[in-house]
Order: sequence, then C-alpha cells, then structure tokens
Amino acid sequence: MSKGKVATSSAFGFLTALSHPQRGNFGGYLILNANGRPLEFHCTAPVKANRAQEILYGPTLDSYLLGEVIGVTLVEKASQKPDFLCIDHPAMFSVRESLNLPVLQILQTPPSPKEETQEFIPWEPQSAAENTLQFRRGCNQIAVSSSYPSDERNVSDQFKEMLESFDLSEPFERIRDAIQEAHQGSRPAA
Amino acid sequence: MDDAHSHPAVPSDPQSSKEVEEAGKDTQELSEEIPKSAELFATGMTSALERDPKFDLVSIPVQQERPRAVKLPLGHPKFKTFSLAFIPDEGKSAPPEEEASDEKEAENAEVQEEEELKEEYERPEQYTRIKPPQDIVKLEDRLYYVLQPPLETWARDLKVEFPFKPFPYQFAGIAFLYARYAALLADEMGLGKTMQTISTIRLLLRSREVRSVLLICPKPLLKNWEREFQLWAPEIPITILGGDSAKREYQWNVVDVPVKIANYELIMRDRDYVLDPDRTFDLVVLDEAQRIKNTSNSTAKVIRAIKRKRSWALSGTPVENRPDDLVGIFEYLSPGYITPSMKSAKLAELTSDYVLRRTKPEVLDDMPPKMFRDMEIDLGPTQREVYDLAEDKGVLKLNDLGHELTIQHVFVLVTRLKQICNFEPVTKESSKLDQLEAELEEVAASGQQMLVFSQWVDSLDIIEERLKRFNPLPYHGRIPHKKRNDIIDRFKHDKRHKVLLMSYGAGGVGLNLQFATYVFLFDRWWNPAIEDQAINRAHRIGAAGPVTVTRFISANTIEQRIDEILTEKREMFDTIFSDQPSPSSMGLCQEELFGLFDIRGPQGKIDVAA
Repeated sequence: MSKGKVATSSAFGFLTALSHPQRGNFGGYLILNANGRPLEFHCTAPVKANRAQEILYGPTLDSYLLGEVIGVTLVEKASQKPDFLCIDHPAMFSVRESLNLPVLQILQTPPSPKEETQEFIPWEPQSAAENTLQFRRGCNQIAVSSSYPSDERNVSDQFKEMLESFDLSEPFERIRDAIQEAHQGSRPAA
Repeated sequence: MDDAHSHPAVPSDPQSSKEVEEAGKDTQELSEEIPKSAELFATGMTSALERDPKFDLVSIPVQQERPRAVKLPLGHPKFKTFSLAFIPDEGKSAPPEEEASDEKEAENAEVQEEEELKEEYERPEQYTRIKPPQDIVKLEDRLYYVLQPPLETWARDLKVEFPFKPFPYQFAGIAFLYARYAALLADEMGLGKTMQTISTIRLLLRSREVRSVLLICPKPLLKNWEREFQLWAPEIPITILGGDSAKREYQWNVVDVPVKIANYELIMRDRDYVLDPDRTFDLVVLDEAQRIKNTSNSTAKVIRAIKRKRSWALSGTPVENRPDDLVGIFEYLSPGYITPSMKSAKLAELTSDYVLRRTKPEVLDDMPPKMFRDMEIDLGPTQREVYDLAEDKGVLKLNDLGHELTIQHVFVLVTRLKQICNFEPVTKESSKLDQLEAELEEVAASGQQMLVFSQWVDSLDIIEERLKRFNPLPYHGRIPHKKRNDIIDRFKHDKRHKVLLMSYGAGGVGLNLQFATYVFLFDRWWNPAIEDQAINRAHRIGAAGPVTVTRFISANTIEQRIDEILTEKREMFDTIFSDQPSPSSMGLCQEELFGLFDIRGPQGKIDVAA
C-alpha cells in the first residue's frame, strides 16, 4: 500500500458485526483500496435469531448468524470482489464455506466501549478459535481456519506486504463507528 | 390372574383421559365374563390336575394417537442492507512529481529504506479520526468522513511528510478543520494554529477536496505564513499578493497557484478583483479573525462578500470584550446563526461544534500546575489618605473637562492612583512592600527564588533598596541589553540572588525562567494577556514544579475595580469556551475606563490613548 509497491486498483475487505441487546446483530462490511481508502461500505439492518434457531443451532448459532447469514449477504452484495477478507471474530470463519477467497481473522484487543455508544457491544471474544492456525505479520496477529491452511499463502503478492505494514485491526473501528452512525437515526421509540 | 386383572393397562399417554376410561371399562368387562360356577369344582390336587386348563384372553390396546408435528422455520432471516459506494480516488492522492536527481535519490535511499522498515513494524500510538460535523445531516456524507482512514496513516499513504511529528492535539485540530465548511480554530497562542491550518490545507489540496485557497492575515504576518508554508507544505505553490496594480491583477488571475495569501488592507484595495462574480474560492481563511468582529466595519463587509465554499477563522482571542465579538466572526462563518441578543450559555451551546479551543495546560502534559493567589492588601494610613484625596480631586477635574475629556485624561488619573497603591509618594509607605518582604523571607528560607513584576521601574528601584539583603537583581528597561543576559545567568546559577525584579515590558517575552517557582505581581497590568506572558516566564514546559502566582491588589482602590472588570471578562470567556482558562488579550475598553470613575465619555469620537 504505501511506498507505491502495490497497484491501487485492488481491494481488500473487512467484515465485522456489533451486537445490540434488544435489537440484534448489525453487520458491516468495508472494502478498501490498497491505500486504505474506502471503496464500498455495506451494513445490515438488525438481524436476530428466532427462538427455534437459538435452540437448534445451539453453539453454532453465532457461526450461522455472523458468517452464513450476515457475512455472506454482505460480501455478495458488494460489487467488488476483494483479494482477501479480514474478520475479527472466529464465528465468521463460516463465511469461508460459501466464498472462494482467503479469510484471515485479525486478532486484536477488544475496543474499549465508548461512553456514548454503550448500547452497541463489540462481539466477544476476539481471540482465535481452537481450530485455527496463528501467525504474526508485522504488527498484525493473524489466524486462518485449519480447514483452509493455505489462505494466508493465497493472499496475492501485491498484498503480502500489506499484511506486514498495515494495521489490519484499524478498519474494524471505522466499520463499528459507521454502523452506529447509520443506525443512530433508526432506533425504535422508547 | 387376579393380579393381572387388578392392574388395568396404563395408556402410554397419561394425558389422554379417554384412553384411561376405556382401559378401565375393559377390565370391568373381563371380570364379569369369569363364570361364577368355578366355585362348584371338586377340590383336591388330582382333580385339579385332571381339569383342562382354561385360558382367558385379554386385549389391551397399545396403539397411540399420532403425535402432532410442529414446523420450525429455519430459513435465513430476512433483513435489509444499506450500501454506499465511494468514487474511486485512483491517482487523486498522488503527490506532485518532484524532480529529484539520481545522486540525491541514491544519497537518501539507504536512510529512507531504514525509515520505511522501521515504519512498517510500528503501529501509531494513537489514531485521529475525522468526525463529521453536526451540520452534516445526510447519512452518506457523514459516512464519507467516518470511513476515512485515520489521519496518521492517511498522511503516510498520501506521502505527506511532516518536518516534525505533530502533537496528538494538532492532529485533532487538523481532523476538526478538514471536515468543516465553517470553523473557528481558537487555540491559545503558541499551540500551532498556523501549522494545523497549513497541514489541513495541504491534505485538502492533495485529496482534491479544494483547489483554490485565499488566506487573509495582518500585514506583519505575511512573511511568517510564507515561512510556515515552506516548512509544513513545501510542495504547495503559494503567492503572496502584492506589488503594483498590474502585478496584483496577474496574481489574482493566475490559476496554477492554489494558495493566495493577502493582507487585510490589500483585500480592501483589490475588492474589485476579489469580489469578481466569476471568482469563487474553495476555502477562505482569516488569520487574526477578530479583525472582522465589528460587523459594520468595511473590511468585514468586503470579506463577508467573498464567494467561497468553506470559511475558516483563526483567533486566539475570539472574544475580546463581549460576546458580540463572536457574533461578528460568525457573520463571516455562518451568517445569522447567532445573534447579539443571545446569552453566553446559549452562544456556547450553539457554537460548540464550530469552535475548537485548547489551552497549553490542557494539551501539554508536562506543564506543571499553576496556582493563583489573589492577595487583597489594605493601604497604609498615609497611603489611604493620599489616595482618597487624589481620587476625589482627580474625578472632579475629569468632570470639569466636559467635552474636552479624552481617554488620556482618565489614563493619567488611573496611573497616578495605581502608583499611590504601590507607594505613598513622599514617605514611600507601602503595605504591598511590607507583605512582599514577609513573603520573600519565607521563599528564601525554603531555598526558592521569586520573580517580582511591576509596571514601573521607579517602583522596582524602591523594592530593590528595601530587599537588599536578598541580593535582588534588577531586569528592566533601564538595564542595557548587553548586561541582561549576564543578569539572567547570575540569577539562574547563583542561588544567593533570591529575587529578580522585572518590568512587564522587559521581562514579558523571550525569557525562560522555569527554575523560579514563585511569581509576584506587585501591581497589575491593564491586560491579562501581558500578565500571562510574564507569568509564563516561570510557568513553562520543563518547570521544576508547581508555580505559585501571587497577585497584589490594594483593597478598596482603583486596582480592585480594574480586577473586578477583568475577572468578569474572564468569566464571560469561560462560559462561552467551556472552562477554558485563558481569556488572552482582554484589556479594558474605553467605556470601562470611564466607568472606573462613574463618569461617561463625551459623545462622538474619543481619542484613544497610545
């Protein structure tokens, strides 16, 4: 990205979600160019599992909602296919089953809740799941699904350097702020 | 058998009462079918063996009703999505091509490589994000700002290099300006309003958000802006407007120079060019914007008429005398948004999103605390007598002047009275000096040093004489310049010198005396900004500890009245700028000077004292 070593026409994506105790999950998907500037942003209205789904999906509910429902919908909605996709929650790895692109989980410290946005809660935990392979690139701690161990190698050469030099945890903060901005005016009446 | 009969079949579904009833009925029927004649058989083992066994068949229903199925919908929940696409900015952020020689490139290659490697592995200490202003209501426009990268990484990717790493508060100032079409940057003097403005202009130009900028400043500051542009945005071409009419016409019309810098007087002179209906600036910046606080001023009118998309104002003193000053600046930023009749609290509420003001203690972590102590001191008996007489006679004289009264006459009386507050003219009686001597005893005993400021050298001479045992060093206008450095050096290194006696004029600027922890203002200057400069000689970055500032005020005198007015102004400033401690240059205006003696100024123009 910096130093002009990568073409600016390529894109990479960031997928995350925020949880709201009453309203459900809000998904957000941001596509950046190689300079880190936004190209596309997509977010969902609140998505909530019904009682039957809660019971029947059990421990796989997060994976179903965040990955199969929210993740796949958002990625398919975008007009550009990213070179690779960054997620910040292991439950989103399920998106990989439906999409043919490398998926990297960026391990990061959970953002501190802001006073004015406490009703939205970042998904916890943001540590890696057991069935992942972890490694470090520059300032980024990354995990890939053990089902797709070559995902990191499949990141195209032009973005390899970015894994080292770009703080891949930062864009998630932008998405979280954008989700809150987008939904500030659509809260139900108290 | 009896056992079997006594236990009816239990339906598998205990909820089904019908089945229970039917099972009970079957059992009853079975009992009735057993022949009563069985009791007539002969008894005995043989007979019993000879009888054919007799079996009864019992049917017990086990078939249950089919359970009802409940269908659970497990399909994907339906939900809406919101999408936003950005205009591709390919090539938009490319820096201007620089002609660099091969030698220079080779020379820098190694160093750059080293820096880049280091840069790659460093995550910035903090990120500064651009927040959309409140007056942007369209969601797409708000998200445009929210989704931009932090300034720290954005500047790096735009290849915008800074000669010095900006402080975090300066990045915050850039983020504030970048998103705003109307903004007042009101940082305290010395925090880098110029640098923040230039850096934001640079980012806006580099990202093609703006293409033409007009910066208007006071004439003496033109060179400073030119110098700062060379330092902070060396690749941005600028023009300092000036010269004869033909040259200026050319300068106004040249299109490949994005930044034009002009002084206020030139704007008036070239109003026809600047107000040309075909000319629109993407951004107009006013430095020292308090110059247009008077809305009826002709310069203010011309500036407000300039066609522009963005309006920024810079001022360390946006409110000098009254809240109306802010109204004047907002008539340029956002006409009609605030009005003179509004209360300070309302002004604060309405303008908060447009104004950014920071002070040094607020943003510079290594500043020691500064504690103020106002000490009201009663005049000595002789002082009081002389003072009262002088004031009574002086006021009578002012009233007698009638229409010939000028502000200078008032100044003369105020000065005379303030001098009496320091010393009785004949006996040199001074309650203040008595107090100062007592204070110095204590300061000296603790091994500390003090600075004493006075408006008058004569007062400093008297103080020096009285405090000889503390080895005072004088530093004022009568001390030749070549000796001044030596005096500061001696005070700094020879701790026998417990006190430095300074005049506001000589000790106001350019001195670093952060080793002195006590400051005494023997008398008060007209303007708190000058006092602040004096205090800041000791209260600076690197000061050893907290600085105690003691302000002497003679009770029930002109000093107390002046202090009340200045305090009131500070409070007004604090209300508008939410707990900002420094009112900067809030001196006394003409009305207030006349008001000190409860007299009114004559009608019409009043000569202003120098």
